[in-house]
Formats: sequence, C-alpha cells, structure tokens
Amino acid sequence: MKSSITPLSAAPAELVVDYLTQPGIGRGYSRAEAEWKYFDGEFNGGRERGFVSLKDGRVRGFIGMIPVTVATPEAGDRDLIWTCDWSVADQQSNPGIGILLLTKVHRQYDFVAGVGGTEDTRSLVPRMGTRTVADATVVLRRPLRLRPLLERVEKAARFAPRLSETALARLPIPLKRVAGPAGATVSPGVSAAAAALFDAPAHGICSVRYDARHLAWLSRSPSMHVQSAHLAAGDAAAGALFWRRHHHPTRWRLALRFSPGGEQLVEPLLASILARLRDREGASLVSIAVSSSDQPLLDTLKRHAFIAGERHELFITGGQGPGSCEQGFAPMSYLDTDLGIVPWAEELV
Amino acid sequence: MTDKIDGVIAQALKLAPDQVRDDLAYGSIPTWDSLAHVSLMLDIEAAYDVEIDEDTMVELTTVGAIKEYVQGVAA
Repeated sequence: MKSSITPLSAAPAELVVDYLTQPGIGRGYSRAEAEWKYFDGEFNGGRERGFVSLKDGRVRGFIGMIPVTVATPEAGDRDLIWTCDWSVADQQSNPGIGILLLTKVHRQYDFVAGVGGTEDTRSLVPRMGTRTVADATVVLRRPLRLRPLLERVEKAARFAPRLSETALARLPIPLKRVAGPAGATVSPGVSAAAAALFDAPAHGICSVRYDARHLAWLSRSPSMHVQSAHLAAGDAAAGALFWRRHHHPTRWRLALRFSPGGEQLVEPLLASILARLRDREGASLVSIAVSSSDQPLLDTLKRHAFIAGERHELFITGGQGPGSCEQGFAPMSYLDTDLGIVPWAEELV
Repeated sequence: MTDKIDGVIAQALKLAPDQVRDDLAYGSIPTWDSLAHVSLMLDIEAAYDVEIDEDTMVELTTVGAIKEYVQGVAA
C-alpha cells in the first residue's frame, strides 16, 4: 500500500505539538512536555522518535517511539522500541491510519513493545502478530497521609462528609520500621550510582536497560521533579528514582532497581524513601509499577502497606522472534514505555 | 466482477456473501474495524493488482464506494 506516513524527524514539529496537546487526542501533555518528549535533541541523538500521518497541513495520526536497549540472555543487547501516544484524530474518517502507523514501526524495527495503552491497543495489537503478556505490570500505591484514603471514601460514598480538604487529610500514616543499613544517599536529579543500577543487565532474563542519556532526559522533563536514592553494602546495592509532576506535587512515582545480592537492601531503601517523601516533601501518595511475577518485591511492597491497583499488558513484536523475551521483561517499572511520564487522570479533568 | 469483489469483501470482513450490501459501512459491523479495513484494502490490492494509496483507503468506507473504485481500476 502506498503510504504518505512520514518519520517524525521530517514532520513539522509545531504541527505535531499542536496535535499532541489537543484535548481528546493527546494524553494531557502541555506544549512544553510534548516538545521535551519528542524533540529533545540530546536524547534523540539522531534516532527516529515516531511516525506521523499528515494531510492538508494537519496531523491525522501519530505513533511515538522511545528507543531503549534490552539485555537478552542469548543475544546480548538488542535495540527495542517502546511505542507510545498511538492515536488517530478522527478514527471514523481515517479508517486504518492507526494500523498503518503501527505497521510502519513493525516493518522498520525488529523488536517493538508497549505496555498498557488504550482500548484500541488492547483490541487491535494482539491481533497483529504480537505476543501479549497479560498483566505483566502491576501498579501499587502507598498512601502516606489520610488524604488519598478520604478521597476514595468520598468518591465511593456520595454522602460521605467532605474531609479530604480539611486539616485531617494532612495527618501522616505510620510507616513500617525496618532494621538494616540506614542512610540512603538521596540526590536531586539522577545520581551516577542510581543510574548505574538502571543500566545494568539482569542475569538470565530479558531486562530493559535505561542508560544515563535516557535518565538525564527524564530529569529534564519540564513537568517533573526527579530525585534519586542509593544504598550500598559491600558489593550489593539498591537504587531508586522517584519523581512528582508539578501539577500534582503530593503524588510521587517510584522505580527501583538492585544489583545481585541487593534485594536485601530494597526494604531499608524503601523505608528511607517513604519517610523522606512523607516528612520532608509533604507527599500524600507513592505509586510504583513492578512486574506481576516479581513475588519477592510484591511481598516487600505489601509489607509496607502498598495496595495493588491496575495491571497492564505487555505487547511484544519481534521480527526475528523475541526469543527468551517472550515471557516479558524483568524487572518492569514506571520507566517502561511512558507509564511514569503520563499525567495523572485527575490532571485531565 | 461483482461476485469477485463480493467474495473479497465477505472474506475480509468474515461475512456470508449475501450479507455484502452496498450500504454496509466501516464501523457499522463489529468485524469491520480498522485492522479489518487495512486487511480488506490489501486483499483488494492483491485481487486486482492495484496499489491503493492512503488517501483513497480512508475514502473507501462503504461497500458501494469500494465497488465503484474497483470498477474504475479494473475497467
């Protein structure tokens, strides 16, 4: 089929940003965020970041790409494309454009994946020769103050007293005390020690590596405030990135990684981060996305009163066969695709 | 000619041949979604040895329009 779909690098940036910030199409990004997400020259470094369907000077469909590396046990490092922001302006008037956009990515890159997505993603992508790992990622939330709990009650019960805007909502929720090495090093932005953990391959399993360039890009986001923490004991280490969006300063997202042997450090690191976010940053809620199959980490999070929430599917397309990655990647986190970047649903109201 | 295109459409949209009516439109039946639409266009390209461009693809949203297009290119 003859297609006029163009690489994002050849499309007028202004038109793409207009499109991605349109209500009902974009995911709630501001213009500055859309520009940062797709037109950050330092991160892009000449790599293609998406495809665009243009007609009569307007964008009628878009698919974004985030290039990363996957460490595989049998084939070493492989380039992977995370797809995101897949959308068509008016599906009824533009039938098939979305499929052509995704097909374009699948034809040009031999290893493509996505986490979550829209109803269309869930209904169409599994029918396109894609391996679907059901419930690959689970999001867990840890309230640190009464506010999130009061908001849930108020949402569920129409006549519940409105207490979430009162001083009561600011009351802190107790944290679990943990024995172990104290004193996680917390740094503004992404520290080199934490970054190294996110770029390290896992043994015997497919793991997505996030290099310093990727993490520096995240920390340049105009809408996010990023910090990192690191805890080491001998050769073992655990690290974390945590960030909040400026529009939602009391809600934080968290991503964890640890070295071999570093699993023992996750709990003290987590305790240290939760205490810091609650007591110094005024946080009311921390969310984390992890692999549904990582039972030890899930158990640790549940011990710290994290409550399991929504789950996301992982879609993998491998032209040459994803090999051992057919079962998905581990660990999963908010860094995968753009799970940790998208605005909270409440921001879109 | 009509039988051939009816067969192509019926197969792509998983319909019985007698269900292929000119007023049938994209999105009006569950089996005619965006993936099926692209698949139908590719089947038409193969059956009639034509190349359908993107702008034409988005205009061929009814069986009637598809038949008119096929009559044009096959003439």
